Amino acid sequence: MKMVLVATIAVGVTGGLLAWKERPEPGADPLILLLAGQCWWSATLIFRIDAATLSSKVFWVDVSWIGVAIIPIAWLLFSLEYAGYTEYTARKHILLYSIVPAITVFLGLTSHSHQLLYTNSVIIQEHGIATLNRTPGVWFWIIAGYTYLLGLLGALPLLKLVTSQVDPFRGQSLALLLGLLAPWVTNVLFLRGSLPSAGVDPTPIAFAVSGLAYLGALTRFQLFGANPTPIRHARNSLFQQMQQGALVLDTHDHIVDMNDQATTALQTTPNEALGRPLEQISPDLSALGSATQAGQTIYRPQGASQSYDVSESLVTDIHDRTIGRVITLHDVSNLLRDQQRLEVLHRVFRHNIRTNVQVILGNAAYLATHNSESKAATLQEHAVEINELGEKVRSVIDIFEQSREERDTLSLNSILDECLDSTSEAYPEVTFEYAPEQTDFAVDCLFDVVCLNIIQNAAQHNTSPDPVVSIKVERDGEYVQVTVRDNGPGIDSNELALVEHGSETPLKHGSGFGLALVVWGTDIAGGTVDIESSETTGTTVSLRIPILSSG
Amino acid sequence: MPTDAQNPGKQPDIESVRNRSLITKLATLTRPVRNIFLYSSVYLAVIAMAEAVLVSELLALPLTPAPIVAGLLTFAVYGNDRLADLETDAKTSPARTAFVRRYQNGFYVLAAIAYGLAVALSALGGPISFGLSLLPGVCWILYACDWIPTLPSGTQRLKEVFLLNSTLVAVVWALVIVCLPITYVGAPASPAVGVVFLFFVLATFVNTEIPNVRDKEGDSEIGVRTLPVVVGVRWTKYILYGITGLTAVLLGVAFVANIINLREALVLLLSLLFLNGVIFCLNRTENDSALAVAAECTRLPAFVVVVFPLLGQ
Repeated sequence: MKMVLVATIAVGVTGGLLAWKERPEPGADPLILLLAGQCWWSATLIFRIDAATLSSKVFWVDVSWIGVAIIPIAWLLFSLEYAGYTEYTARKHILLYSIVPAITVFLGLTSHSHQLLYTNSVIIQEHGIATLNRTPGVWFWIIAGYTYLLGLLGALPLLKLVTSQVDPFRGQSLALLLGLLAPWVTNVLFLRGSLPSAGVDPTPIAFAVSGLAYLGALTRFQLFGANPTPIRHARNSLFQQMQQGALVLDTHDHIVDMNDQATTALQTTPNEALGRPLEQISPDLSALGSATQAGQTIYRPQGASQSYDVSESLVTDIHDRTIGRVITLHDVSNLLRDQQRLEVLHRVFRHNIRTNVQVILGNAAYLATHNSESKAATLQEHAVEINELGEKVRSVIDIFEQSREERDTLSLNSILDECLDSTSEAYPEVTFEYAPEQTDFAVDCLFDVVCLNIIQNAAQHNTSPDPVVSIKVERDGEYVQVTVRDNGPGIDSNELALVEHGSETPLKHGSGFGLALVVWGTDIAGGTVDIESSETTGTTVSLRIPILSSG
Repeated sequence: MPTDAQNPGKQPDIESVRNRSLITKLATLTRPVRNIFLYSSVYLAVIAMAEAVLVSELLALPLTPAPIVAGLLTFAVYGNDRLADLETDAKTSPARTAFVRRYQNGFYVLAAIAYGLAVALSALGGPISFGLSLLPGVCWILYACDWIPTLPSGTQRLKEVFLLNSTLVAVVWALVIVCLPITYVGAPASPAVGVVFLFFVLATFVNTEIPNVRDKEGDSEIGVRTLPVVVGVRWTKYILYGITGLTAVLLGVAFVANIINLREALVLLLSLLFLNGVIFCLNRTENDSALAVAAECTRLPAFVVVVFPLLGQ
């Protein structure tokens, strides 16, 4: 018996040192603790066998509880850490698990003054060997039950891994369960009196088997080299960090889980939404219902500019029964906006081309039979318009392309200087008043096109006898305000509809692309544009541009 | 060394070439064994076993598994120490570091098995033996590892604390070598035990400081404060002579006070004589590594004197 216990200690210490090397891998610390408890239990058994008197034998049994009580806590923590249930291994949980074992150790060390652990201790002779016989007290059965309970709880996560698709995890969990089962069975047999162990609890000997199993898991199945700890966290993390919003509904359409993106999309909070029917939280999304099941559909929350592509997948259990569904919300606002802008671009382009071509064809037919300088000039003017239209379309497409790329920054002062230089050269009759900000700002390079179009439009369409365009730059917190004011006839209300309704409203026939470039370019670059126009006071365009850096 | 190719005019005789070839072959064959023996701390384990047997004989104790436990503990703890100091030892002991680095995984497993066996065997010697076997492991962790992450920054490893490092090593190994054979048989502590224990503490302290002379530059660079780093090599030698002298006085007083007999006193003095020889050679030879090994072996002559006559009986 003693030599078997010696082997148990050798295996335990060796396993503990091998586990020590693997720190801080999940499960390493509890495994060290478990093996230390097992070694202490085995050592005290050896000392108890060697002890000659009743009091010394009783002493070694009493102090053995230090190791015995550690084992179930260490086992549970090991299993939870290994299988990735680390939310149950916080300090408060460890303290909770340790209450009963701590009481047990205290009762063990003070057993001479009460009968809670043992009611009676005598030495009896068995086969000529003096052995200690102690009658278990009430607390003995409590700690025994508690040990079995923690053993069972620790086995549950491992049982789940036995069916894992990953080979090493199956091997590891089987080895670990075998390691649990050996001392468990031995202890049950000892408590039933079915083992001829001369009164000595052979459970720690069975831990030699555990030790070998753990060593096998360590070496053969790379216990700490490949472990399933991250799986649960990864799944949860994936759910939380996925770009799409995701809602988990039970069979009664109550929201049982949702990620941050879904919370934002539904304009709610987890506290408000979880546990409540989807219909209460978002009637619009709930109303999509069968339409969603049929395929995909678009969800637009009330009062929000975002649009979501909604898809749904059913959650089934191992019997293929539907136990809920997952609704995913994919933000397609940008996609829809770009699609709408392309449609507008396409419609206006076709309309303007058709108008110009019709004028050209009419004038060409006239010129075929007549000689008219004015008709020829008109024809030439419309041909130039087509050319300019082509340039504008190209600029718009450039802006769309740049919206998908990382863009450079430009100095706002240099942007405005260049715009003024080129426009004043093209329109020498216009007076330009420019009040630059002393501080220069770095801004998105898209504002180059935006500012050029604003200043050009202000000069080009200014029919005042004394045309004036004034430009003012002011800082407003993290933004810089560029105000371009002219004394022209104002902008047609049809064209202003584009600004008033954002990108949602198609341009009216007859519009050019200058204003579209201003509105879309500003939006893509993260700014805002505000246009005030009247036939008497002219037009004021206010650009609010985010400052990327100043200096 | 010039090769024959560089001296084409000189033809080596066939016999000398054959002899050289044989010596080279032998050296090649024995090099792995020599490397394992020296670099893996096996030789230290053998010396520890010899010392534990020497203590058993000097104190007239029956032979027990205690020397085996001492050997296994030595192998495990020194092996781990070499693994922990791979980076810092690269400068002071490049050949040993290269060997340990090459076999580090297997080396750790062997050290773990050795420690497991040592602790298990010590349990057979009773609770005090069991506790003694755990002591080197605990001290090794305290000595060599930054194992408590919550310690404030700037806290030193015990290995880096001046004098405490060598003293801790000396006391712990003296406890293992001297006390394990005693606790294993449950013999009572006697004044003779105290004298032998003090002898081993002082001699082990000297042993620990001798390799520090070789490692002076490396230790200084990594901030480990040892006697040679702090007081220089010359004063280190004076201090070590002083300690061996103090030990000799202790043995003399113990003999006069009839605590140890003449045979025991002479045997231990023989060890001191060899130890002084090693101290004398410090800074006088190129091969400092050999001196470190020689210092570890200074109790072997005493072992031979005490144990070999017993073999003939």
